[in-house]
Amino acid sequence: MGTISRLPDEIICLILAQFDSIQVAKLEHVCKQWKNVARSHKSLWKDALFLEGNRDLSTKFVNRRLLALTKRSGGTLDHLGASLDLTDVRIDAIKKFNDRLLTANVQNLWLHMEPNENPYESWEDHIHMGNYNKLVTKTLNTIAQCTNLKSLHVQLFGSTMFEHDAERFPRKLASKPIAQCKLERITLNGFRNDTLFEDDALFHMLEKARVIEITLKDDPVPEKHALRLLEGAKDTLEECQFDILEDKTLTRSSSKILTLPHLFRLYLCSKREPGRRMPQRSIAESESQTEDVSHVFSGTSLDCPRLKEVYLEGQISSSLRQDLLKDSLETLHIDMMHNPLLSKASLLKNCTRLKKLVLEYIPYYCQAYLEDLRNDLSFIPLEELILVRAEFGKGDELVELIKARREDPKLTTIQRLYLVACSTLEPEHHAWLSKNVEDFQQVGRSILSGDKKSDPNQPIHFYDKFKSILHRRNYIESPMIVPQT
Amino acid sequence: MVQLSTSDNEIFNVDRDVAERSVLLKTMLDDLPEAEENPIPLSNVSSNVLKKVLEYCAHHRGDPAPPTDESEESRKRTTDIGDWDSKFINVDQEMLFEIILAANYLDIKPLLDVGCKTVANMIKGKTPEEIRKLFNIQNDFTQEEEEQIKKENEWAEDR
Repeated sequence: MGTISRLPDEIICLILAQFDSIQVAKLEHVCKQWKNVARSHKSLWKDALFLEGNRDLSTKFVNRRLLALTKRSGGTLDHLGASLDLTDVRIDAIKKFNDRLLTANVQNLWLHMEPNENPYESWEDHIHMGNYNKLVTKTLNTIAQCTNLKSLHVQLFGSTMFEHDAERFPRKLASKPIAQCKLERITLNGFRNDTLFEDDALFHMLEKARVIEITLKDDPVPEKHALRLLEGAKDTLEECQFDILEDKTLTRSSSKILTLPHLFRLYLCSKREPGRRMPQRSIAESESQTEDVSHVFSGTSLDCPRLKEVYLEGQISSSLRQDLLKDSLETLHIDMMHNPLLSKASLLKNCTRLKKLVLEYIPYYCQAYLEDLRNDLSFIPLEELILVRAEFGKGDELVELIKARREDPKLTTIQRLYLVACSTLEPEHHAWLSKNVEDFQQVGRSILSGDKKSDPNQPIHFYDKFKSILHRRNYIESPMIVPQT
Repeated sequence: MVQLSTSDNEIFNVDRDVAERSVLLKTMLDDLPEAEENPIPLSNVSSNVLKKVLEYCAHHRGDPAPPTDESEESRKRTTDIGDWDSKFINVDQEMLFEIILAANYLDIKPLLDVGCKTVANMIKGKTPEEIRKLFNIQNDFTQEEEEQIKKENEWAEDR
């Protein structure tokens, strides 16, 4: 008997490889064979992930695990993911973390450094905020010393509260070791970006990038830098997300075509005035106001033959929209706040494969749009419709729209309808939708800031690889999300 | 058609594309043209196990070839066990380990993967003692050795 003991070490190793390193340590206790297999395969210890469900891991605890895993992996970690709660952290613990980060020779780094508590509420005294900035600055300096990075994800709190010592990468990036890294993926959230673009280092680092995400709502990437990043990585880029600041001084020629052959996901947010969201008065009014003004990328034509997923927010020129809204598209998410032109049905006319449509912010004066939508969608194989902050009247338009699709055999049935922070429906409409739409949910405003998992509006982030590793731990309960390439 | 002969001397007639799910057989068939005429002896696999393995190969005969690079990344990117596969692999322990061994010998990566994931599913959430009981594993550590591992792995313990 003892049939499992007949399996050779190489297969025991394959079984152990299904678990993350922390669990492998626990599985060592089973028997000598398992322990010996675990200890003799450095590959089982390459991932140090202290995320998911561990938000309150103390830095001291992270430090201990990091040290142990660095040793067992032979001094090179494939993945280091840590969510550091900096609310109450001591500078010496962060100092230690930074020392260990350097010796871990990490290839893929994922760091969240956010205060657990909302500083606007509990950090009213600047001493704490100053401390947070000190810890972040120290860590960013350490990241700049890394020489082995392939991907870098850093999420900061991104406060604009204390301008003078906000979080930023050290100056003169080109002179730092990190400048030698060719990054496949970068996602920077919550940064001040001014030092990033001071020299050419970042552009060189991202020449072969597959994923670029640089977002901070109140400090967008200047348009010329965003364009240069796109151009630099055009042959490899698959996913891209920017908050962009339109550059009015840019000379616009209208002849330039930028081809991005592999791009399948693009999120663009363009705000002319950073940090301010001014609602438009009406469609007609805003069209007359904005139509003749040049917009972000309006001098460049984007050619993305594989584009599947688009998110647009802010002032996006009509020519750029025409470039992007095309027949390869399967998912479209538009924040209508600055995109009232969507009401022109012709805009969706090329989206003949669109399966999922998310419309955000349909104010009361755009109510008629819900009626137009029925026509817009009449040739689109839509399956999911998600409306966020749509102020419709009693819900008649919506029910009509769903009904019409059910009755027309040429049209696909909408299987998922989410209403997020929308005005309430008449009870009979709610009942009809609950009965007739397979997956119908109406969720309140609170969900936007609260439970992110059930928020259908949550922008997709680009760490599918990380996600799949994280899910290894729980892959039975939660099937993995496989990126569609 | 390809003929396969098992450890208990049973002969199986198999379509070539089914047999070629096994990298070992594919290499043999590519390299040795005469292999198609004589039964290929599979001295490590018994007929009841081969029958099961061939059932898997037949169901997956049309699948696209698995990625050739054996990098860490492609291994990690493997997805969940599919519906058909999980029904297929719902067998007793003895057969499960036989299938894993056969998949390893015949070099059928996706099947090996399904097998290892299934074992991992059985292990998941259990204490070392429960795992030993489940698989009938002897605890071959001495008291001192157990203490030693506990000390060495203190860092991994939940607080």
